[in-house]
Amino acid sequence: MSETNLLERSAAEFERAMQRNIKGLGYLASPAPVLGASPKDTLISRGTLRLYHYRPMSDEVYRVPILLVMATTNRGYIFDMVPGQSLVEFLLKAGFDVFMIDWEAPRQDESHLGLDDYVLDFLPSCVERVLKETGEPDLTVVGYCFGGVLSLLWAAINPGPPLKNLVTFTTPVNFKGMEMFQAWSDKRFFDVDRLIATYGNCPAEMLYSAFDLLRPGAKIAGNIRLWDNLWNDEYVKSFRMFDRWATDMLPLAGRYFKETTEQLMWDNALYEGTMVIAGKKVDLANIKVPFMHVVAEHDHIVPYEASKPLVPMIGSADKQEVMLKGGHVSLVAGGNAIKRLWPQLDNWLQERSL
Amino acid sequence: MELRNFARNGAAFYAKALDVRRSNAKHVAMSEKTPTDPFSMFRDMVNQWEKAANDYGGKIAGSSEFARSMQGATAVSMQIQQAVHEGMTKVLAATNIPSREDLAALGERVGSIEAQLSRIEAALGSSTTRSSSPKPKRTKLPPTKSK
Repeated sequence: MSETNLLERSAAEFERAMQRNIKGLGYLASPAPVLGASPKDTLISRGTLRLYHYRPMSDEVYRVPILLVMATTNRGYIFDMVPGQSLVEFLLKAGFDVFMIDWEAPRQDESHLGLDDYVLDFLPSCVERVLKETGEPDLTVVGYCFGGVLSLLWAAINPGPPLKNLVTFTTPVNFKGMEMFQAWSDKRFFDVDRLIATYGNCPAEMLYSAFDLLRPGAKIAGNIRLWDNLWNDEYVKSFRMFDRWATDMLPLAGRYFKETTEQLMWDNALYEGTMVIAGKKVDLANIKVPFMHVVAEHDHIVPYEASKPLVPMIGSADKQEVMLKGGHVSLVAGGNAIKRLWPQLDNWLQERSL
Repeated sequence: MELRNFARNGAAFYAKALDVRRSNAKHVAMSEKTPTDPFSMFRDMVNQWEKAANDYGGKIAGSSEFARSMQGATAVSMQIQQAVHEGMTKVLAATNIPSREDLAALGERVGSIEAQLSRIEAALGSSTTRSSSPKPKRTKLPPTKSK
C-alpha cells in the first residue's frame, strides 16, 4: 500500500473513529427501533394466539388471501420490520390480502397447550376466520421454520379445501439432520419432564442460549463489527432491528415443548411417517396442493440435511424446492430477502392466487 | 512536552492526510483490499476468528460430553429452583400471601373467560380494532395477464 493511500485510509478511519464516538453515545441513549408497525387489525387475540389482518395497500387484490404462520419461538415482526424492509408491505403493495398468525409468550396457565391445540385448534380457527373475513372459499398458507411444520401438520390432516397453495420457508422435516439440537436434546441427558415440571413452560432464555450456541463466535464478532460500523447509520439501524428480533424470543408452552422434543427430536416421527396428533395420523403425501419449499444455502439453524426430504414427501404434482443464497433469517428479511425471496414468492403466487 | 509533541505530530499527520484526500481525484473505496492495508487486515482477522470460533466451538458444543455437562448444569439449576420454590411456597402460605400457583389458577380462569369472549367475538364477526375503509376488489390479475 502506497504512503498516499495509507494516509488517506488513516484519515478516513480517523473520521470514522470520531463518528463512532459521537454516534456510539447516541446509540446507547436512543430507544429501540419501532418494528412491525404496518397498519393492521387484530382479528383473534386468545391467550398466546394472535391473528392479524394487514390493511390493503391497493384498490384491487388477488382473490386468494395469504395467511403467514410464524414460528412459535419468535415474533412475527421479522415479516414486517420497517417500511421498505417489510415482506408484509411488499406483498400488500404487490396486491395480496395478507393475514398473519403471530404468538405472544404463553402464560404459565397455558403450559398445558400441546401440538394438538396448535394444529387442530389455533390454525383451523384462524383459517376459518380468514375465509369469513374475505368471503373466499380458499387461501394460501405460508409457514416459516416451525410455523412451516405446524402448517404441514395441519395441511396433512386436512388435505384439500380450503387450502389452495402451501409455501414453507426453511422448514425441517428430518430432525436427525439438526445435529446440534439432537446432541443437546439427547434423551440420555435431557430430562424434558423435569424441565416442564420445574418451569411450566420452556423458558425463552434457554432457547436463546441454544440458538446462540449454534454459532459461538457470532455474538462477539457481531459486536466488533457493530463498533467498527458505528459511523454507518444504515448498518447500525439494520443491526439493531435484527438484534432486537433475535433476542426477543418466546417461551414454549410446556406440553408443546415436550411433545416436539419426544415426537420430533427423539422419534423423528414426521420423517418416519409415525406422527400422530390427537389420534390423527400425519402423512405428508396427503398434501396435493401446489407446494413450494424455500431453503437457505447457509442455514445454520435448519441445515439442508433436515429440510431436504420435505419436497419428495409431499404428494403434490405441482411442487418445487428453491434454494436461495442466505441464512435462516436473511432468507426472509433484509437486503438479501428483498432481492431474492420476495420477488420469487410474488412470481410463484401470482398465477396461483386467482 | 512529549504529549504536546505527540498531539502536534498527530494533528500534522491528520492534516496531511486530509490534504492528500482532497488533492486525490480518485477516491479509494473503503472496501478495497490491499495486502498491506491494516484496516482491511483487522476486518479479515475478525472474520477468520469468527469462522474458527464457530467451527471449533461448534465441534465442542456438539459433542456428547458437552451435552452431558450442559444438561448436568441445567439439572442443578432446576434442583435449586425447586428447593427455592418449595421454601417460598411454605413462607407464602404461612404469611397468607397468594403463591404462583394461586395466581396461575386465577390466570387460568381469566384466560378461559378471555377465550369464551374471543369465540363470541369471532361468532359476531367483530374485533378489537377494525379499519373502516372499504374493502378492495378481489379481481387482480398477474401483470402479464392484465396487459
